[in-house]
Amino acid sequence: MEEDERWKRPTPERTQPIRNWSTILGANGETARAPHSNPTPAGGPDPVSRAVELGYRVIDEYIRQGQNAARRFSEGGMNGGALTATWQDAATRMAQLSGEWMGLWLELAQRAAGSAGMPGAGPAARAFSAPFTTPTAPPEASPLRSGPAASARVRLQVSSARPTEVTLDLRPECTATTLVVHSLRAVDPNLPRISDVGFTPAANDQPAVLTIRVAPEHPAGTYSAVIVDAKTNRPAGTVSVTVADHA
Amino acid sequence: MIWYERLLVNEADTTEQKPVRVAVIGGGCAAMTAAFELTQPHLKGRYQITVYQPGWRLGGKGASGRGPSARIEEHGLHLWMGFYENAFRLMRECYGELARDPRTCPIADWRDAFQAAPLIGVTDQLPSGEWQIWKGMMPPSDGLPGDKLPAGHSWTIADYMLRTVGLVRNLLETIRQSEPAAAQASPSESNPSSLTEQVQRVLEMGELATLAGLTQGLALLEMVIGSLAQYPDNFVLRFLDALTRNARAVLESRLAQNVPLRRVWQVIDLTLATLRGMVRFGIAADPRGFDAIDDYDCREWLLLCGASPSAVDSGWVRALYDLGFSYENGDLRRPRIAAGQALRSMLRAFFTYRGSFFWRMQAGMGDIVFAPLYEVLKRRGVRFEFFHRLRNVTLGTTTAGANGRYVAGLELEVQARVRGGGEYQPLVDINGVPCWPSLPLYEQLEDSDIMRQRHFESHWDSGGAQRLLAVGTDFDAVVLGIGLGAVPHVCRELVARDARWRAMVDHVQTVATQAFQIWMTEDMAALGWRDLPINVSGFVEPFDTWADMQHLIGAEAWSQAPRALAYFCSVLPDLAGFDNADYPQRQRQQVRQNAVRFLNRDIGQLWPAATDGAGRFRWNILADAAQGNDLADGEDRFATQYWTANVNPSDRYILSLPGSTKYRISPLDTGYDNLTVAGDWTACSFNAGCVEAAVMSGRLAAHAIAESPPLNEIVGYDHP
Ligand SMILES: Cc1cc2nc3c(=O)[nH]c(=O)nc-3n(C[C@H](O)[C@H](O)[C@H](O)COP(=O)(O)OP(=O)(O)OC[C@H]3O[C@@H](n4cnc5c(N)ncnc54)[C@H](O)[C@@H]3O)c2cc1C
Repeated sequence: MEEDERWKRPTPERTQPIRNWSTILGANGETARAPHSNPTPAGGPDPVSRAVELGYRVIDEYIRQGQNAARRFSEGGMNGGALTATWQDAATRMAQLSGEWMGLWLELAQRAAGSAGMPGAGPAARAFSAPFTTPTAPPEASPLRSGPAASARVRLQVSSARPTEVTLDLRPECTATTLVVHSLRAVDPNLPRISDVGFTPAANDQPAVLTIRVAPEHPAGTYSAVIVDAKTNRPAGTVSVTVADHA
Repeated sequence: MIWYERLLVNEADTTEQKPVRVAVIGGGCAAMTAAFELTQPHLKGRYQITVYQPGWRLGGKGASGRGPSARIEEHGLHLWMGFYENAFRLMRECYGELARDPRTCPIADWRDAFQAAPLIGVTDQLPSGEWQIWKGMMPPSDGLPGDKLPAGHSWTIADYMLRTVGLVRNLLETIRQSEPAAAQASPSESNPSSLTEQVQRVLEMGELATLAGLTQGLALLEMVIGSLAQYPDNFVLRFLDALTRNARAVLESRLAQNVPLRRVWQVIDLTLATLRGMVRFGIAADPRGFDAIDDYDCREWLLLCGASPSAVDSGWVRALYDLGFSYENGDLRRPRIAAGQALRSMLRAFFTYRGSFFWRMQAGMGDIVFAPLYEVLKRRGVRFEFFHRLRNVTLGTTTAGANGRYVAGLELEVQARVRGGGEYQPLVDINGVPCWPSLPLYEQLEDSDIMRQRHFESHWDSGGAQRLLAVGTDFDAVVLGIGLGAVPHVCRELVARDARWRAMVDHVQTVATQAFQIWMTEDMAALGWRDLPINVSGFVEPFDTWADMQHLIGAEAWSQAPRALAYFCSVLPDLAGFDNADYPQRQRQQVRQNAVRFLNRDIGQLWPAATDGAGRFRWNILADAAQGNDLADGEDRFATQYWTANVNPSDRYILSLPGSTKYRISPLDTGYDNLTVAGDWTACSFNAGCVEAAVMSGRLAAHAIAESPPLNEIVGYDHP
């Protein structure tokens, strides 16, 4: 048959998967070749704030575990010999040192995330269920179940003389009546904290209000904090505030 | 259905064109997916498909048949995982289009075909030599596999990191929550020894919580310093580094006696090592995603990232290797799997499953997957040429040189002819379900007595007329859907002439597998297994994986139904003399010996009451499907059961060896302008031997020919 009559495959738009969207994003954020995809849906938290959350979660957990254990062991007294002094010392020391290395971790996390370009809010911000539970229910129980509990409603009040972006990420199961937040910190320990921040609890059908005031002279940067549920003393989410440079 | 949304897109350009004749070689998951996609209604018959399949049935590595008493006979245990988005989507579309009548067919809907199987188990061998099973009920997760994902959905390393941290937090929380129970017990109610035990338990948990935080937190610190270099190597840090190592050593030795806590610790250890590795190896910023670490073996990589040797040797990691048959040349001393693909598999499996972690088919894989696909494809006008084996692929080159290479001819062996010249009708009805028989329906074949002597699916079988297909006359395009092991045998010219194809067959390796199934007259409780149906991996070789498949008994047709059914499988080491005609028989004999030895020696660990006083298997509990009158006694009774040595080159399981995945060839880029490839061995982004990879590859093959489905609809193709 004639060569030009022979059927040929169309030239594919690409021959490999896109494994990392950030590496195909140009400096101005344009997608090099992603004709069918929309990797960055609007409304998702930005990579930095999520990485910050990651950092906080890791560190938070370690501090809490270390403190709990140290307290338990020093209170209990019994069988104390089984616990070496080094460990007790280490648990306490860990709590002391946490502040120092939090900055390091955050910076690392930011670096990783800064180049990772994580799109999509995804389910990552959801609570994680324990991987195993003891089998009590029949195994063929319906895989369907009701969705997560409705999120706490929070109103944001931000006052700032400059463009300011706030990302609030609350776990679905938290209750808006007992949330507390402390000063927002930047990765750079030399930057001052944003201290004028606080929750007014939800009451009479009114949502909780998170108030953030950024002083006019406050340096530009990203400031983050963990939101804690005062009732359980467990992390309930994160808030991250990015203050732009003076225009 | 929701994913028909895009069907209107190509309508305009499909009219008035001569159909493209596509020869689909093979009838496995990948090839059938390609045929399914190329005949989607929106393509309006633009692609005219003929499937060429040796023997009497579709399915390849997923083929199954109905033997005596319509018992289901499989290549091995097949489970579907909750993250098989493409595979489930295919099945959901297929069953939807088939629209079987539930009044006449018990497997009418895809939900009849697949059931959630959330209970899983991994095993640990105690210092005493005894095996213990760690059972876990995986919680149901939102949605169902194959549900449409939100627009713009994608996976990122950062997401996985967050989820990994969440997992650790939860494991720690699980431990913490279990503490009060021990602490609350009133001392007056307890005898001294149990009080001591409780105190000891609380203490160990406390230590675990502290040290998990400490050691892993500090290891993170270690990593931060290692990565960023600009921080001074001061006294405190050195102290902490030393403390990490000490703490881990002390903790591990303490936990040696506390098996449940040790297992939790191992998961924490592995998870945090993974997290560290993701950051340390810069995977989040690497354009290759997890492929960046594919040159490492998974265990080696975990150790490099600070996992403890005991965690790396745990049942969890062994289960990962066992489920992927990841033993080079079937040699149990050479467990090897590419770290990147292993990680991708684990993260997808644990963090992206929908509905259930595992799904079990409610009949044979052939009946559940390939019979419905066959029926739908027949309706869509696909032609099936059973009893056709590809023997050789010939190539042509145009003046355009390297860019103008193509498949010029296909040389087929016609193994058998259908009486009267019509198409072979392959399915039989079992309890209202169309099924594949374990043997051909000889009465449809010419010379049926002679045909009974043939082993149509065997690589060592030959005979029949040659049939030549020429490009332009008989076909325009080719989907090569055979297993990789068969490629060197039928694509000799391709492999000899093309360095890329040669490198692929040299580096991407396969392994033979063995499996057996036993039907028993006593139920699992009577055999000493008192739990819900389970899938266990990481058990003792030669059969490391067991699944309780009693749910299938009802789908069979026994006059006296057995009470229990168990499937076992694992890799099968190669023997010398592959080219000899008796090779498959020798390997089959080997599998039988392995199974008998395993049942006599090891099964008592799982089913203590299945053995006699001397600890040997009670052979008389085996049920005979053929219901022969003079049943053999003792070990000989095993002959009534089903076992298989999967040694045909095409049936060999594909491995993801370290350093091999980069040699895979993509369906989108074969180097031949009328050829695409479909199979779990191709570069399909999820480079592992599983149904999902095969289906993804089939969809890519269809895209290579028809630009449909669009790449962004191949779920998980763009994945780190
Ligand atoms: C024992 C075992 C257990 C497994 N368990 C699981 C599991 O639990 N879950 C899971 O997801 N995956 C599992 N897998 C893997 C899964 O079965 C495969 O990944 C999948 O079936 C591969 O499909 P495929 O289309 O790529 O290849 P195949 O299924 O191998 O299909 C190849 C096709 O080509 C045909 N063919 C071969 N040679 C020729 C020729 N010369 N001419 C024409 N046609 C030819 C074959 O007959 C077959 O139809 C298991 C595999 C094995 C072996």
